[in-house]
Amino acid sequence: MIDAIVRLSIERRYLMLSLILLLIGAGLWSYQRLPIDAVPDITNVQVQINTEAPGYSPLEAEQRITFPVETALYGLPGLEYTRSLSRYGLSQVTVVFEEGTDLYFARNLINERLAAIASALPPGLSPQMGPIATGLGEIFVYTVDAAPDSTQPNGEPWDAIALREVQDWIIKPQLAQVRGVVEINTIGGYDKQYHVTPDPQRLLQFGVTMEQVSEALRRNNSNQGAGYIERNGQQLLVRSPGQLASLVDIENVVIRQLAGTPVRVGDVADVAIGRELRTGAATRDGHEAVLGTAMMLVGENARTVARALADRLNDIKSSLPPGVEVETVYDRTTLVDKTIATVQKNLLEGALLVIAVLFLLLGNFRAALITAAVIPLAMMATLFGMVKTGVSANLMSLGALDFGLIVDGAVIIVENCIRRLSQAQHQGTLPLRERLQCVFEATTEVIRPSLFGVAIITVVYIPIFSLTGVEGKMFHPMAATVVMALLAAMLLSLTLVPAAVATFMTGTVSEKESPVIRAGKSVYRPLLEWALRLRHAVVAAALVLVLACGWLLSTLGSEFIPQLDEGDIALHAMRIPGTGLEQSVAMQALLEQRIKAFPEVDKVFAKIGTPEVATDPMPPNVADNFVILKPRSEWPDPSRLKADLVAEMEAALEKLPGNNYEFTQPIQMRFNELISGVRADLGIKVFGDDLEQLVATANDILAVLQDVEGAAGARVEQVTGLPMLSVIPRRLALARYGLTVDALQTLVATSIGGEQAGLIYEGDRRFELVVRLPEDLRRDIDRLAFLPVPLPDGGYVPLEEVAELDIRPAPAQISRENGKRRVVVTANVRGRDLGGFVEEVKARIGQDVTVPSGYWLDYGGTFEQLQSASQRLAIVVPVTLAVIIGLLVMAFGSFRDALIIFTGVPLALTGGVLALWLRDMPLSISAGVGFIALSGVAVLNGLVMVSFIRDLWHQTGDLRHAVIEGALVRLRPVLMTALVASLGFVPMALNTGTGAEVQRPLATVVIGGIISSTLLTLVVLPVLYHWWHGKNRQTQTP
Amino acid sequence: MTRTLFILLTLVLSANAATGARAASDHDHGDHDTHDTEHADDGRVEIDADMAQQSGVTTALAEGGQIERLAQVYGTLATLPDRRAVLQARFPGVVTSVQATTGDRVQQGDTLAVIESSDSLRSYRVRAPIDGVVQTRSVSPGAVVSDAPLFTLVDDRQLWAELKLFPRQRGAVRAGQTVHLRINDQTAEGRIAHITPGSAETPYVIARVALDNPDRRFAPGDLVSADIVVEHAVVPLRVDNRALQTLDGQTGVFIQDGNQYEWHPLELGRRDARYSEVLDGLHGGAQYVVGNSYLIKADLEKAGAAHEH
Repeated sequence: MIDAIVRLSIERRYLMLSLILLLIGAGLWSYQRLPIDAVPDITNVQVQINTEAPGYSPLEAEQRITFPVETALYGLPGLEYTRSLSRYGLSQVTVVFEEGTDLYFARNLINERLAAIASALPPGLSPQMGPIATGLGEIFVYTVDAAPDSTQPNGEPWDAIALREVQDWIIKPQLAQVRGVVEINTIGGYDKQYHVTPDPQRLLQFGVTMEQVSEALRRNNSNQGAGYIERNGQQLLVRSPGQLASLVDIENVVIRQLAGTPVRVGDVADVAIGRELRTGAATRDGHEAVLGTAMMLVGENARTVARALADRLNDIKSSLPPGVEVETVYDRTTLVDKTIATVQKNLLEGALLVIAVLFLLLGNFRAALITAAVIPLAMMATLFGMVKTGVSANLMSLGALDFGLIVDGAVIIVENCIRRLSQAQHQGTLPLRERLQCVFEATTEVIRPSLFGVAIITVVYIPIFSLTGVEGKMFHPMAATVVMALLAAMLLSLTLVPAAVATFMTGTVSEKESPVIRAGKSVYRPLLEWALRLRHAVVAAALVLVLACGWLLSTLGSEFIPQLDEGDIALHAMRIPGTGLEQSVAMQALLEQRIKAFPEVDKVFAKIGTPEVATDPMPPNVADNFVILKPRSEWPDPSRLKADLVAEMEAALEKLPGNNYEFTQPIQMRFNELISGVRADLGIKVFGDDLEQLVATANDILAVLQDVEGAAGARVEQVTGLPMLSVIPRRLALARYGLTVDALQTLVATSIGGEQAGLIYEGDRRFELVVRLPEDLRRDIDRLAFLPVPLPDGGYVPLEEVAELDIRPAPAQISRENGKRRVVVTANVRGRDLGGFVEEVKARIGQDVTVPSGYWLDYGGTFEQLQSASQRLAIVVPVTLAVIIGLLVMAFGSFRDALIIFTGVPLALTGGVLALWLRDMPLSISAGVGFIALSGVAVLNGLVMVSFIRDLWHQTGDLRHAVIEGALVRLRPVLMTALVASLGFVPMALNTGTGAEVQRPLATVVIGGIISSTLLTLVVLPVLYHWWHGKNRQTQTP
Repeated sequence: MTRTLFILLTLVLSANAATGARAASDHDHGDHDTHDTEHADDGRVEIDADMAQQSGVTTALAEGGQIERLAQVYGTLATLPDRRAVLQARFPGVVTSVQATTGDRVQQGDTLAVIESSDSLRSYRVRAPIDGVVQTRSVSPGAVVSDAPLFTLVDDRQLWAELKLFPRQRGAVRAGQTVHLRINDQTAEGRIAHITPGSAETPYVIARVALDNPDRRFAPGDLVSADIVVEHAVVPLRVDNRALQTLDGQTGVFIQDGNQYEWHPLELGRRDARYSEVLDGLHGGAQYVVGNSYLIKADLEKAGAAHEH
């Protein structure tokens, strides 16, 4: 079949060549549609269900919202697990679906379930699904700030309320319409509210209750349409406008009549513009600001959307009131551009190096160009494939592309063609027919080994596909892209390459044996002969080398995935639980001033607490800081390492009292927040009902855990710590005064939290009208005891008479998983193997800890993933190796030859290990991928070499001659494939741009490995072949 | 075959080692925590003077002073019983003239009206029994009056604040205690004259406070908010309430010693809105943190501050 394809390609060569145009067209089309981002999206398929419950404490939020929502989700198809947290004013349920579930389908299912439970939730509360975005979604952040000394149109300075109004009603509506934006999330400032703050004394005086005030406001604030009347043929609409429009309007609302005189709202209460009880704040460079975050729709192109946002924001600037300044503080475009620039540079330089090498070694410019043409064409096909399979272009997916590797197949074919053509031309220029025949023969001669080679390289990527979870998401795109590129190249070398050679290699084919090759051969022949003589020593040396590198490998440090340097710094600043928002803002100001003092820092901004849409519900004691650095050229020392800067920053910030820090990077931080599993080696989850019992059991477990050898940093998740003021009704006393519990609770809720009594409209803008106690009374806990509670028949009773006031710590947050409360005990393991540790812990806990009935434990943590990954790899890697051997056996029909070729793999790995060791790099998954690619190349080299030697041996029957001559003939292609493959990676190995740190280990391993593999293929392989087959023949023919 | 096995081993090993790296990053995390816990155990933190000043940490000298415990109650203003007079005609008759009208201020002994008795046909005068203001007048010349009230006189130069004491507040309130009154945004001071039981239907008792009203700022019926000084003591040692923080269930303050701040749990006695009496745990003359004392607590406990999702 292969012969038929090659023949067809050569016969219909012009047709084949015209297909190039089609390919280019498809490539360009794909490029337009290819989603581009900096890193692959590692978020799982998840939907957040947020329910805002103003005033609800964690316990109430859990009981009345979280539980019904969780229960409603049971049995959803594809559901993997649910987790939830209930916090002040918020219930968030995160639903994680199995990989591959369609997000829109999942959201639809949830929507259906939520609709069914709407009636089971407290009235007025409705669960909302989070934006359709992933961890990569936060692509654009801007601040709304006031210019110094600027004032509002009414003469007052811009404050946090006014700025928020500008954001909510001028900026957000415009930005939200940008294509690809799913949500503009606001944090900071205060929602403007109209506050009616009744004074308890004046209420008593006029015999009015808070309830009556709200009621009066509700009844006096609406417009009503009243149909139409027709008069003299004309239609007349009727309406009765009655909406409150101003503070004075509100003051003049009549509550009741007292002895013939109306009691107005203004008589018993102050009316003013006030601040909402906010759950989040934002700061910028040490002062409060309003922050807008644009979230991108899943699957959109980050760069395009961020650009469009920036453009729109520029347009918006002209529509802003004077004095308000809007500035972009984070723009993903910057990072994407830098990363893509790095990748482009690597690919371009790699491609140029490859072309240069081809020209140098082939000594034929046209042949070099044909081979090189495979590079862009394969790239076009790959882009097309990426769009079709939904792989986005990013550092990881494009990072492992090595054009040297891709053109390997083509190199072998072209090299053989021009060798055969130039041999055939000794008698003069060939006629067309003969030339075509010659090309056909030359192609088919090497096509099988090179196809097998490419197939094998493809196969070695299979273990990567077996990775699951985060690792899988990181590396699947990489493997997919490489495999696509290889397949494309394979197809091209079957069709286009022979067609192009047949078409363009007309006239005299000058195959000048380049000086490099000549010199190489003159060294190689004696070397090979010497090696064949000293075969025992050579094989022994190779073995020693392999063993030594095996040992060296075990001494290398390891890291999981080299972290992409995003160029900016993100840090969590954490204060103790229970810290208030204003306190946090004050502490944040100091923190930001300190950070801003670094000359490398351009801007610093922070989100504290929970934004409007609770995509990342943090308590008020946690702040996400973003430190945007200046371009390196503006640094005092442009060559300073970022790690060094981070270290200095950490040391400086450590001096600020009351903060704990965790340094990370913006995208990384977002991923962590969304994935959010147990991040320690071992996590023991205690499930059950009663929080106190859960904590008690968790503490028992902690005690046992700390005793187990190897446990480090064991701790129980902090559950309590939020002081809570409880107003506990005294039922007897309430009965005596004829009050109900509900009446008391409503009063407390209205007084402290406020009660919404309608909306005030200003054009499109709408603001809440809220009734609550004046600020000074709200804050005074001592006086709360004396708050008059109105009695049903008039009169009042002080609050302390009918309720107990009690302050004690309460749960700050209730976490649940799969529908049950849980507390997690975590520990890391040092100095012993994880599996044994976990076994011992399980046994000790089973023995020493009594878990009450109704409570149960679950063991999780990274140990699980490690175990499953190891188990999977322990199956997949041998299977892959077996498949490779199987392919080799298929190619040669000889198990022995297959094994000989296979020796190339460990020999290749030695070089990779040495290169890592030389560059002082740790072992990482990136390096692992390098080793995988390396195995493929090594096998390919061996394959070509052995197949030639074998053919020659079969032709001549002289083993030694066949080995030496065959090896000499294959010197050029082996050197060429090796050189192009390694040189293609050189720019990657040396690059220091953004994103290079992820590619560097991979490239380093491949370069090192190819050097060793080439040398060993050229020397050890022929020796082994000769030894094994020679010995065998002797035993066969005694 | 052994070679193949070896290769296999190498590959699995490298995969394992690579995945194991995740654990390494967590170890660092753990280190950090233990370090901070040690830091917190001795209840002592160090903050630069500069930093303390920037963060608004201020201190005060622990010393003695007053403790004034208040109870807040509400009530209404009422006239004194002997400062109010309802005038009636002694004998039925015809009113011949009326000298005073609503709002007139009259002196004791002033003639308010003249009535001609129907029996004797002799005229007699109706005189003001007290100084006061004519609150109501229900007669006009020519009217025949019998036993209906003619005038109501009220003397509002002195009023009573009748304060309602609910059962829980009652225990601490005694006659003679000082009361800070607030009426329509004006303040006044007085003493509890006496406490009288309320009626059987009302759950409260009434404490009365005499209130001078020379310029008649107040009117009977006005609502009074009152802070009764239920306890007044001079204590040897007291601390500002803003300084108090709770740590591990104990209340205490932070003592400044140079750049060092040390946690002192306290035994507290009586407290008022501003100060708390210190019974034990602190000696006079210590500099304790008042402003932003929360920051010191935050620094001390920050090891526990983690970002859990």
